[in-house]
Amino acid sequence: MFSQSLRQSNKSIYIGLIFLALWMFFAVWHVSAGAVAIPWREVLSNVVGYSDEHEFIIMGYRLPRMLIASLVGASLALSGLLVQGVIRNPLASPDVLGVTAGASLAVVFVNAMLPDIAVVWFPVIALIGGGISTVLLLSIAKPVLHHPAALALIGIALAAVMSAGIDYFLISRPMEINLSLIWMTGSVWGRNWSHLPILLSFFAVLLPCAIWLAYRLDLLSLGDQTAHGIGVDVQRLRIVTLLVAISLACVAVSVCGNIGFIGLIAPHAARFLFGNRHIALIPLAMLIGAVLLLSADLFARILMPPIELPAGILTALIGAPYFIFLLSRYKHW
Amino acid sequence: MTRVATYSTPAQTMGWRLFIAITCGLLMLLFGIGWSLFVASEFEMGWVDVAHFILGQDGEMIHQHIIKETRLPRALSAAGVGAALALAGLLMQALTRNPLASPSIFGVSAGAAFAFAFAATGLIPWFSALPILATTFIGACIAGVAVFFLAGLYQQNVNPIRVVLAGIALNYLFISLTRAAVIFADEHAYGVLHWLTGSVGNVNWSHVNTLWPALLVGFVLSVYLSFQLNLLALGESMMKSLGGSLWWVRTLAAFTIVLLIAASVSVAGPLAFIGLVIPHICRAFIGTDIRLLVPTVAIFGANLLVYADALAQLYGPGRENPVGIITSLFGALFFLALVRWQVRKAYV
Repeated sequence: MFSQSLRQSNKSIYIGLIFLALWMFFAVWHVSAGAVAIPWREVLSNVVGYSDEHEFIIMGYRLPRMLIASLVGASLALSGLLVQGVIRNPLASPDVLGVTAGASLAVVFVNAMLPDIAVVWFPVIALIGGGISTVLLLSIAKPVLHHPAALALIGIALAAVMSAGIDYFLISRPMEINLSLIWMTGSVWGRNWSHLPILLSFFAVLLPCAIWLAYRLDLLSLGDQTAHGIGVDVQRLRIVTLLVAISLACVAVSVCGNIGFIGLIAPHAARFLFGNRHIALIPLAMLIGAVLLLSADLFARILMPPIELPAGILTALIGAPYFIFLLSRYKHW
Repeated sequence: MTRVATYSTPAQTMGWRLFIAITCGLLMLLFGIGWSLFVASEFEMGWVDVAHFILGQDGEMIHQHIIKETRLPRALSAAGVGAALALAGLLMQALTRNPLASPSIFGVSAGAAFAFAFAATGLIPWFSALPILATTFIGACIAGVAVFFLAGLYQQNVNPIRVVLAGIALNYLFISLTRAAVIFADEHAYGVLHWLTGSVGNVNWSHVNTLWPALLVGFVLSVYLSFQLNLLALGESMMKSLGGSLWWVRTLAAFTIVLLIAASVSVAGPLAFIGLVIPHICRAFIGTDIRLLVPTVAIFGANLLVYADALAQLYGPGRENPVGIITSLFGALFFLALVRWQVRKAYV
């Protein structure tokens, strides 16, 4: 028993190291690729501080963008992991449940009403929007919370309402909305150091919360009754976990806009690679999410050089087929 | 005698209801088209100009020109697109026996739109050289086949919610592809948004000339199919035992659906939710008989889009609002209510 769990944790460390290496590979590639190609060695020596030939490009543009893409990917993945853990629904993720659409709608609405609002307020607004849409979802879907597909369908319908509202604001107020438009398409373009402290400060609070929740979620996966018998306050655990998950997703949305499907795929991949222990799943899912968004943003930039696609398009190209695959594999209709 | 009377009464009331619905619908449509000819114009126009135009009298030259060259094609395309989408939605719902089926939710509209946007990029020269209707037809075909297989529609007793979820994922995929194609072709984010919402703002007579023949063919085919689809409503095995050919009905209905969607997308872009909303509203008044629903749905679909377009011009914040904003706002709310109702019916 003990040796087995030891082997398990060894395995998880190896997998984690592999993904860490993958992330570093993409990170360096991400910083080096672009209109001005910078050699890899130059990138590394710049970051360490030996050389400052391309300092302006690297420090001013590419490094913050790389860090933000990684952090946003990680927080979306973590959010999806928590949501799937608490609703025990393979189809759940913050975007399928309409949380990210609600957050986007709130940001676009406030941006249309108060065009001069500072970027610092975006996470707070997004949090309020995401919270409202979650409350709406839970109240509409109350009788069918235990039917994954039904919950997903209601979430998607709610997201459709929200995105119709977003389209309305984007089209009806083209002048005020330029900022939103760049932001809405789910792009990491044009992000700079000013976004990083916001992300990091939320992360510093929410990540310990997630780790604190990890063991309790393991207990919850035994079933509500058993978890209750062991001494977990199931209802409170659900609410706290959902709050943490929603906050993570909303902060990610407030920085990068609506980037779909990472919160769905990354936790699945992590679970597939390494069972169901949340304490190991958290770092692994975050790494996978970071790698996914980083590579999506990288390929969105280098596929058709002068043109830069929003990273959200690439994640949808991978994510939508995966979602259909999940549907065809899911047996409990 | 009494028995005959009890049998004939529902049919007679149905007939009256149909007659009233179609008459009212047509009158409303005529009024709506006439109204939209002069509403929200920069010029001082009114019913007088419409009357002049219809009677062929010499009214004020500019007004007549506006009506003839911009307003009338716009109103006619709005009517045609609405009718085509509503018919396509009705056929899809009857064919899949899924109340949530509709062109936009199953991704067929988005497939047609993607083909259109892809042709605009000019990556494959011969594909870009095709007429618009052929391009969108191919796109809608591909999306239709994809949804048929990926959503498992070929299986018997497939879960309707699975089909809808797969269709929505496919829709999302095609919208992302369209975005990529439009950015590639245009590099103008605002244009993408305008186009993806659906609009009849930039139509001319050539659009009307592609749309209406396709709509007429689609309508005739729908009337022909309605008898068979009524049988299908009883169940596939029942239909076979009554002598219907499932394969033939499916193929012909699929062709009709694709044709109608391709025609409407080639004119107005992917307008959402009309194909979902109208059949449900009409069913509430007319009942489930598809023979009666075909004309009603076509007329009320036309009505909806004509009035929505007029309202989009009148009350929108800017003067040139795509009609898709209005239809998708109200349509999405309707979709949410419908999903809630269906899900509760299925699980609670």
